[in-house]
Amino acid sequence: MSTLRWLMAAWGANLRAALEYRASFLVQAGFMLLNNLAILAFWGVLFSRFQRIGGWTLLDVALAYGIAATGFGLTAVLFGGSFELAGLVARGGIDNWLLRSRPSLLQALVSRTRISGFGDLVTGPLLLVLTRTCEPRRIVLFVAGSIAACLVITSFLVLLGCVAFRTGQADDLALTGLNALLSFGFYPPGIFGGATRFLLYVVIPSGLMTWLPVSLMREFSARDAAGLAGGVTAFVAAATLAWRHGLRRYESGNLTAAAGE
Amino acid sequence: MRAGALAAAFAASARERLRHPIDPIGSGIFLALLLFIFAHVWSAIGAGARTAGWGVPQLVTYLLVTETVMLSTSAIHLRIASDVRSGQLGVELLRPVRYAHWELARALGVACVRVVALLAAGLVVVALLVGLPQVDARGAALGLLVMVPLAILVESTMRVLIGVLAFWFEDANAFFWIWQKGGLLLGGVLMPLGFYPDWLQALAAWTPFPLLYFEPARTVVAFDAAAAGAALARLLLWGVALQGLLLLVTRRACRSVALNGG
Amino acid sequence: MSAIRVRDLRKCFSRNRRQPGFAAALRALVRPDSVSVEAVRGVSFDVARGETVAFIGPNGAGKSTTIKMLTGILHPTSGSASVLGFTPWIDRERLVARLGCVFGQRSQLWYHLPVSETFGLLAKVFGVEDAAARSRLRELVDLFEIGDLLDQPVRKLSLGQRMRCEIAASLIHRPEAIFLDEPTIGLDVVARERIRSLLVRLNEQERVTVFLTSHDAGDIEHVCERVLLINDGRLLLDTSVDRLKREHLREKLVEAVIEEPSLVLGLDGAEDLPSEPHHVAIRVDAGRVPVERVIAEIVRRASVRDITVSNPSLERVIATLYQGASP
Repeated sequence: MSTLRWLMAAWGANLRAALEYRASFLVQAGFMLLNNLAILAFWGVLFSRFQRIGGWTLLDVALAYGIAATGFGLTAVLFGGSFELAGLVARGGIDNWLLRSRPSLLQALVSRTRISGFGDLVTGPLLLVLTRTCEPRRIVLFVAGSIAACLVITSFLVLLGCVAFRTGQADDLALTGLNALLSFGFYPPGIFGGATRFLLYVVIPSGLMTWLPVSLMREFSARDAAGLAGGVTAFVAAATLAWRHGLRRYESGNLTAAAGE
Repeated sequence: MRAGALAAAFAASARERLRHPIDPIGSGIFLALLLFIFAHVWSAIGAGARTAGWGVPQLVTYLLVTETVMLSTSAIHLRIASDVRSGQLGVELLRPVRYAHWELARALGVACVRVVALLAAGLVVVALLVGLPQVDARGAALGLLVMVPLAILVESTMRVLIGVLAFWFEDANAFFWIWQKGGLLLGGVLMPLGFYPDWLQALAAWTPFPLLYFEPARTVVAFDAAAAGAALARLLLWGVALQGLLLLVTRRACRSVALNGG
Repeated sequence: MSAIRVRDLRKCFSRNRRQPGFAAALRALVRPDSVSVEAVRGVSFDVARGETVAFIGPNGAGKSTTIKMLTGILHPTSGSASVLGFTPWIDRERLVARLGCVFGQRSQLWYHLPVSETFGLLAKVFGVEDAAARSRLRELVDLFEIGDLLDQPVRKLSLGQRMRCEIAASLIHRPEAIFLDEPTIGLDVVARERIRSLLVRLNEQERVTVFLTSHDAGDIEHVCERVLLINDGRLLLDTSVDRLKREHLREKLVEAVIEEPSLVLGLDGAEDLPSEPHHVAIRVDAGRVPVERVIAEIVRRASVRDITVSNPSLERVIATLYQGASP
């Protein structure tokens, strides 16, 4: 049976489990949506005063926000396990995944869904409507950018999670890193110096998450598209390698989680 | 005796916070990040910011002060909400000190350590990024030593109050969220209220939020004796009013617990 | 044809010794002080297809570590093993598709889903096609009598019900062998009995090799033909359950609370143990004197307020065995 069929079943199960708590579902998703709009309101105020910041206009910020929100929403809904990777591993989740004949990292990622992610998923299209983006070409770029953002965010969280379970830390590292990733992504690249910008593509990939996609929506260039594809692939590869490395250490019993007779 | 007990709670809480230095590092990193980003935002805006009468160092230091108030109070409302739901509140009737005051003393003990840590680290970061602004010493003293602690007291009082509301409402979080977002937007946390459109400034003036964030920060970086004095008076009034409200609400909750068993 | 072949399996863990204090923590960062712990010290055994084997030993004996190596979760330090023809740590994914695993203390079911859905999901995980999964589910429902549990979310099940579902779930993909790690832990007597008879039926009907670890002597007696005793990382005993019962499990401990300050039975085959005033403790060799006789004697000679009969603890069995093993 193909991996995709299994994934669809897993996602369906997560969704059904989430919907079981119907009231909580609406409240959490609703709050996330309102949260996003509140932050955008701040941006609206800032830009009403200063039309252009770092080369970006309010429209660009809105698009960046929309892409990040949709990407984040996809991560939260499809790969919700990425937020607590270190914790899941510490609680012995690995044993279960290893005893099943599917890739363990995928199992870890799809093991849960964060309901609030649905609010983020709605924010993206909402912003498309609010910014009156209706050309099919730009919509396609927005969707592609959101998928890329999802992959970047998930890979980044996996990388942090692997570090965390190696050092025995809790998931705080992952959440702090996520905070940084998202924070930088909402601000125009133009305000940062060259060195900082480089780091924000390679180390904390906010540039890959929002700057490149927004740039592509403003003006498409094959070079930027290739850069985005390459960057995303690199991060996904790095995450997979980090996981495999961690797994090998786990199997050799070098992680405290492996012990416990 | 009561004051002594409260002082003990305050000190014990502070000591405990000092023993776990890892916690503030999370907020410290967040703060450093924010300062870094906004230093760049304001520098990029450059001339535009100047016209409002604020220089970049002032704006970034302003952010430091508002964020310090925001970050030094932790999510105590959650713990209190669970205490309330578990009936722990009833224990107050056995103690000579009011539950509300006790929790407030503890919260302030924690906040005290965090404020010092955040301000110290933050000032270093600001100095490295954009340099410290020239400030009036009186304003800095009044702002940092009087208004910021008062703002933290009011903020903590509100959070304890929200926690106690869990007695009647299923989810305390909704109130907290409204309070927090209100503070963020209408308190002028990220940028001074003067940058807001007029109608929004008028709206904010009706709320206590500017007193918690905008006024203390402005007193530090752009001191105006008259405005500071007025703000301080209003802050004190709000502080007293909220204290009263908190005591009232907590007393009712306790009595309910005593009568019905929680 | 063997299901499991283990030769000289060894596992050492490197443990960091943590001293208290801030200075020590700093030092540990630069120069970690580690100690090597041997959890499994050269274990060898064979299990044939269709056998039911109990792998017993006290806490810390190396049971879970061994099972983890046999399922590929842990790599051994040295030695070899072959499970269903695969080397677990090399061919884990292919082995796992033919193996069923149940860990008593950890659940494989999805907590929030109804039982039937969790089965469906597991079927998809193992790549079992829908039609086959449905008919298999019907079989398992009959065998395990879980029909009325299917619609309930897992979190609402009692421990006993959950364990039946766990074991059923581990069989969805028709494994050739099933590993169970403490399957009856925390269960009451009735639930325990039920699980044990299910395992026996499973083995008889489907010729599934059963390899179970346990703390509980009763599990050995009722489910398994063979027992492997491990202690301190070494295999102390590899024998049939019959032999074990005949030679080692005939002991019973009778304890009573009496009105009189003391009582000495002096019965042949019943050893009087030292005890507090008003307490009696007798170790009975059931092969030499029936327990009823001892009880009757106590009741005859004293006013009994309370009386209990218990099996020897596993620790005691092992202690006896260990003594027997050394010359």
